[in-house]
Amino acid sequence: MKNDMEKLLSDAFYAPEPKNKQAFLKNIRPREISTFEMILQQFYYIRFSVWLYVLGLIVVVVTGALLQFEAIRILFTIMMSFTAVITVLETRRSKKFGMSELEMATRYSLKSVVIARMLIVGMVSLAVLFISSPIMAISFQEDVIITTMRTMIPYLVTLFVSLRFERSVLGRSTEYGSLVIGFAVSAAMIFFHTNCREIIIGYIEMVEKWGVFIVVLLIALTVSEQCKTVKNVEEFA
Amino acid sequence: MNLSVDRLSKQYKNKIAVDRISFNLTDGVTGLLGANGAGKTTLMRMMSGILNPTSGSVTADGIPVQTEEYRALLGYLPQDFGYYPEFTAREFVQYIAALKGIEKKKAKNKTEELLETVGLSDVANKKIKTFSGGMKQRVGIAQALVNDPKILILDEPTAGLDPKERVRFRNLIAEIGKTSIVLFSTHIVSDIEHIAGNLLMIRDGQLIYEGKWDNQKGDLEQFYMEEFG
Repeated sequence: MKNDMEKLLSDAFYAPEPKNKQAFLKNIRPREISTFEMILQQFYYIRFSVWLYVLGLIVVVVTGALLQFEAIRILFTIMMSFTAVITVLETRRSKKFGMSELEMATRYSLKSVVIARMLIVGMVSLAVLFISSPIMAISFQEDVIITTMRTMIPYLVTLFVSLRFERSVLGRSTEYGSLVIGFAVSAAMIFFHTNCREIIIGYIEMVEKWGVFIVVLLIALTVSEQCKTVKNVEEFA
Repeated sequence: MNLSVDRLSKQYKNKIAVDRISFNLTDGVTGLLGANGAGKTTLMRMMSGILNPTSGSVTADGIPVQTEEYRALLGYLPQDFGYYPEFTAREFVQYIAALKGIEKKKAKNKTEELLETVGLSDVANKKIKTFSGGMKQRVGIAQALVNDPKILILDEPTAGLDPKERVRFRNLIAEIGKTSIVLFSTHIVSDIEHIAGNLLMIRDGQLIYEGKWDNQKGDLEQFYMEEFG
């Protein structure tokens, strides 16, 4: 009975066709979106392989540290350097896949997209560093701050050099230049670790004495490079 | 809405790609005709805020092209565009919707509606890399329309479309032109002669014709061939 009534009512008082609906909809201003929302949007578009690498890094480092596997100390530093490479590669992903023009014509511009990606991968890298370093330090009975700084320095050096290289003429025409830098930094670390113990000992002593100063200086230099990269991203797209 | 282009120029070292072009556009479809290398793409890229002009300005009701407010009104289809290899047609349109600041639920509904319109709803979950040229172009058209743009700039949108798709696309553009400014570049006269209320012709970076085309002026195709042939 109720259904019949509903049908009779809807037949008697049908809704009129909306007039100028499209024109009306187009005049509604789009809502404001916060920076946090923008970053969150990009979070979903970071490649799956990046998350897989980060997860793999944590698993390898934690397992190696718990088993007190000596080689994990150098492996951790190498893997962190490659995290820096991944951060840099994320900044040129739009250009690589020909998405720059489309992203530049959207509301947030390519600059915002690159900032968001750099921020996400950068924060994740630092989170991995700050989670893994204490585990390593405790496992190998070392000072947490010294272990963190010892790993952070090659990470920041790779990040700084890669960002600088990517903006150069050669870097813009080379697809995986940062990867080569990552390999070079890693090869140097392996070489010193296996052949020049005195250099490693000297490096550890230097970190103990000047570590904070070096890290702060490298952070300042890297942030400056990141700003330059963002400033030039649309020009080089 | 009034889209105003005022003495817009772009110079690359010794070459002037766009030379002091001025015009005003209102709602409706405007065809931009010109041979390859005439400066159509450069002009459209400047009107989309992608390329900084050497001089001149582009404003929509006084809103400058460089602002977020202008870009919120814009839909743009570049001549060539890429896509992230992991993207399906649906993900691609939703990604652009996200960058255009459209709410997730609205973006989802709009994406479905547009994929249906461009005839890709059956393959919405397929990766774009498996698509033909025409299908990719249709995804591009869908992304350009996702924010119901007030200004729609389409750079050679019919490239790669088969004759049936071309007709369907022309009808769609004519419909959008009723409530939006549509600038449509092509070098195929038949693409625009029936739907464009206004025409712009560009040669060597300069505007050589602006206004309505009526048959009293003769055959548009013939005029085009004489000017650009």
